[in-house]
Amino acid sequence: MVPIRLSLTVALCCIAIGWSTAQIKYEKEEKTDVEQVPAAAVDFIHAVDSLLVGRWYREISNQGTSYEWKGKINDQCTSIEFDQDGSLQDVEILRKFAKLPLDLMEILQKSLSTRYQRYSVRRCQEQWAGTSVAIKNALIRSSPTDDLSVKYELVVRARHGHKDDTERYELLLKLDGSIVREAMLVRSLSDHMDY
Amino acid sequence: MRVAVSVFFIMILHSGYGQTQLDIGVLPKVVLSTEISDHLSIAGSVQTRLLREGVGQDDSKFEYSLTDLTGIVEYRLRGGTRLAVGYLFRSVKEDIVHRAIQQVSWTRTMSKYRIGHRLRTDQTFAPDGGVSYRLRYRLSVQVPLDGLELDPRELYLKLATEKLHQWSSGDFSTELRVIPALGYYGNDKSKIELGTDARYDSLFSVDDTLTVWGTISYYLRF
Repeated sequence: MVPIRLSLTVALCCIAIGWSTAQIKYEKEEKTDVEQVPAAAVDFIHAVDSLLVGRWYREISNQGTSYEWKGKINDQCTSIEFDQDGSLQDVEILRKFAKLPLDLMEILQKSLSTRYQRYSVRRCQEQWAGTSVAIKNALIRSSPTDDLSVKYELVVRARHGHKDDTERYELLLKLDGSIVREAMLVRSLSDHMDY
Repeated sequence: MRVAVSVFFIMILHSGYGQTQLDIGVLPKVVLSTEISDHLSIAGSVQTRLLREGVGQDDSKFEYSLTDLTGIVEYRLRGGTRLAVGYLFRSVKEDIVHRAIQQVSWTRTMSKYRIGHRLRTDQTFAPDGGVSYRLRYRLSVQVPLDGLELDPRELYLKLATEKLHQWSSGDFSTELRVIPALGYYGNDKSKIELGTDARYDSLFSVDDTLTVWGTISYYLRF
């Protein structure tokens, strides 16, 4: 019985330590009911297509609260982000990187090759920003209009140099290939997958 | 995931037709780990077993089975693949068993799923001097239950399946494990999981055993 008691004591102590060191600041995305979403955001979705089916998420971070609708518009996986008041922020449409127009893909690849010694694109999203009217019209016709700003948000597994670690990065690129933003994604721990 | 669940039910059905013994048990585990450098980390775990053998038999009752103490040193390659070696000290009532462990593991993220691979070999040194060798592969999938990414203070589902091949004293045997668990991701330092670990040994023999463990695992990174 002694090993059992010892193990249980160790387990309880560890659990207590773990809870007590839990961080207060956090960022999370959670599903939310449409009733909790600002009316302006819901109205925008209905204005695009009253029959659209999707899910609402609330994202709470250090920057505040935002709302995101995710669903399919014209058979394309689309997410539309709103701020706390329901004002439209941007739209992101999932694309297959390999199926981008050849000239655009070459520009983006050249930019990535310059920045990284080695990379592989894991996710590609086309991002539209502009007025809510312009975005609504573009969503209905399923292609961006000239009055929208179009960028590409990529998640890549890459390393900068030969001696650097491979990490996951989230990048925002303009159509000319210039990088607006690069953020290294936090490496998730795998102890529960390994042991 | 559907395949793994199907395999599990096939195991249960098969156990009903053959001469399968059903054992049940409890498997509490605590895993502590820390990073020594950007590439090097160490982990230690304590695990005990309470086992009730031969469910349905008159003299069947829960008994303390064993305690495992494990130490692992892990080196993460630049590409993210992890190489590890370890040692397990097992206290089985009056006996002591030693085991050397070597493993390679890697994880990939696909959409909302996190997929982990673990390939492990180990050599177990029994008190009588015998050595048994095992080769095992585990595939695990983690999916958040709320939203598309696993954030702190959220629940997740982890489903793992593992196949083990053992060679001991000229005998070869195969074991299949199905390990579903519900996890709570407290923060980037702590996780707790509740689940079951169904182990079907001697996969291709007549006298086999299905052992269903209730598991509780706590992972603390410091």
